[in-house]
Amino acid sequence: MTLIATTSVPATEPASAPQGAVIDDAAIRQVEPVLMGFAYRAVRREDVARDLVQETYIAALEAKASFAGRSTLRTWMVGILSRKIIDFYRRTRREVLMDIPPEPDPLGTFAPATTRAPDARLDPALAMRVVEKSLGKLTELERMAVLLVDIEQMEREEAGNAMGVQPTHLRVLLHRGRHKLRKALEDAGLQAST
Amino acid sequence: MLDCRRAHDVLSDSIDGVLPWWKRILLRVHLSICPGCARTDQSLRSCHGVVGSLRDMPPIIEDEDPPG
Repeated sequence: MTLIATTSVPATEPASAPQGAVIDDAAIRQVEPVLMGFAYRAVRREDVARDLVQETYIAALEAKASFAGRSTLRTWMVGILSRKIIDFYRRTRREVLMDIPPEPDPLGTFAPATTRAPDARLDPALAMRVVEKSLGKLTELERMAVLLVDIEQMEREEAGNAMGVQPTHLRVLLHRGRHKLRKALEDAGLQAST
Repeated sequence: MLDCRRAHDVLSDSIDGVLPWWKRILLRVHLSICPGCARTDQSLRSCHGVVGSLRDMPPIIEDEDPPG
């Protein structure tokens, strides 16, 4: 087991810049651990993650005039990175990136939780490892939806825009991804603590 | 009244707070009388908390199968 970043992700993200603030190379590079972590979780390959982050730097520097300070620098750059990742997915064509029909049974993951009693001793470190590994078993788009909404805490609309998918599609991706992760925790004997 | 399948389908929406008020009430009523769905809801929310806690953590790389 290794950690992808040699430096830990800053506990506090860079503050959003005021309108018209200068976004320079140093400010952008401060977000590096966040971007590397996000990219690795999305593509599961360190070399590809590094390339995508490099592309994101270049795109951010070229587009820095468009950063209006309405979101944090982190959110803005994660949005750029997300589009790079979606392009990578398209190039590798491991998943057809198109809107899926909403009916019938749009969510299709109905499976109640097991009836075992909740484990009140949920080990956070173990649970995080199980989730980390299980993220790799989601489809690419399910994983991106979970990364953007649940880890980066983007609004659904913002995440959908970053991914280039319709709200109904994002809803289904989130539903499926979240329930798969829930199932993985249950299968590992880790259930909701009370 | 929501049945179990419909309740299950909106649990994720409930986490994001995007359900209309009347559906929130229907879901709450269903969860109060259905231990299975209540367990699923609790489990999903617990999982959501774990996922969110990864936000400021560097990813852990372990040998894994190719992504799905």
